[in-house]
Amino acid sequence: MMTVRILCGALALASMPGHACEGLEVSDARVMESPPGASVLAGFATLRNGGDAPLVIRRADSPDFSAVEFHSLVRRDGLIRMTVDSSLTVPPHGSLAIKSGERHLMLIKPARDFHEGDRITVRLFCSTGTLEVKMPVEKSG
Amino acid sequence: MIAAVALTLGMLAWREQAERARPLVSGSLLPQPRPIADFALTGDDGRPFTRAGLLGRWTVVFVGYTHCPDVCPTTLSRLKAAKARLDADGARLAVLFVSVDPERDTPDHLGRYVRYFDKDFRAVTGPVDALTALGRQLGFVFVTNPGAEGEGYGIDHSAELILLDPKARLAGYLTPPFQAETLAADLGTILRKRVAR
Ligand SMILES: [Cu+2]
Repeated sequence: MMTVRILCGALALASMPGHACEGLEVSDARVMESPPGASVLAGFATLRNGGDAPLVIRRADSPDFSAVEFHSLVRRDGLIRMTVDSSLTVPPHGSLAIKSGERHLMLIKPARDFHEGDRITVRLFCSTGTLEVKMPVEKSG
Repeated sequence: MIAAVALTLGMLAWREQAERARPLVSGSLLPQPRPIADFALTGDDGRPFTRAGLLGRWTVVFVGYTHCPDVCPTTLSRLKAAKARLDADGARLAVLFVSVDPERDTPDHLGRYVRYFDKDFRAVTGPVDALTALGRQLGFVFVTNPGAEGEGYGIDHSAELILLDPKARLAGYLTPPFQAETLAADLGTILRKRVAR
């Protein structure tokens, strides 16, 4: 009996299109336009977790970039240091701000130059599935 | 009566003093500007850039690299916005981006990078030794961070804005986070300062 239930659950998740990161809500998503020929762009967003458990985003990717990483900026010894985070955790019934000066989605090696008005697709992978986010490109400042 | 007059005079003197000292909103000026020794870097036009290139105008120096995704473009955008707020005064201010990534930032690439933000922004880079020596004079540091950018590398760098007076002397620093409004106020303050002979 138990086995059947688990199997059903798994099937339900697999057939769910797009919004499979249960409880995860993304707002204010945007990518900062960079100068032509830039090798990396920074993506920002606010992640909200409506669920009762911490929501962990284990990785991200994008068809428009060779890789997507989670980066934090730390000020130490007078230096701005960029570090790689292995995952992002959104607290239960809370939010995580990915914002300029603190952290960003590091979008590495764009397939082409992106400009204001373009939309970049980023997929966030959490334990319950994937959430596809469309991030508009905006002028920085 | 006498006490009140004395008090008023005292306040006037204090106000005058405060006006002259005019502190910066987000930074500080050195009590005495510090002369800097000559250096040899390369400008974004591919030609030598030395201390002489700093003479005659106030210069705001920002240290970074073009593979920097957030801090560098954000700061350059804010500088552009602040400069626009200064209107005509803004033209008297030079913005110099010092790239500490000479391996990837060629003069040509640097020129296109800074001009994307503002057509008057300039950029320089040079051998790591020369950059380190200039950093020692101006008070900036940078360290290569192999893990920070995918298969490439990042560079940890100082995020302050360095203020140089029209005599190419170190005059002070502005400290992040930067907002266009306070930046404009501070840059306006330094532009109004008379530079002692
Ligand atoms: Cu990064």
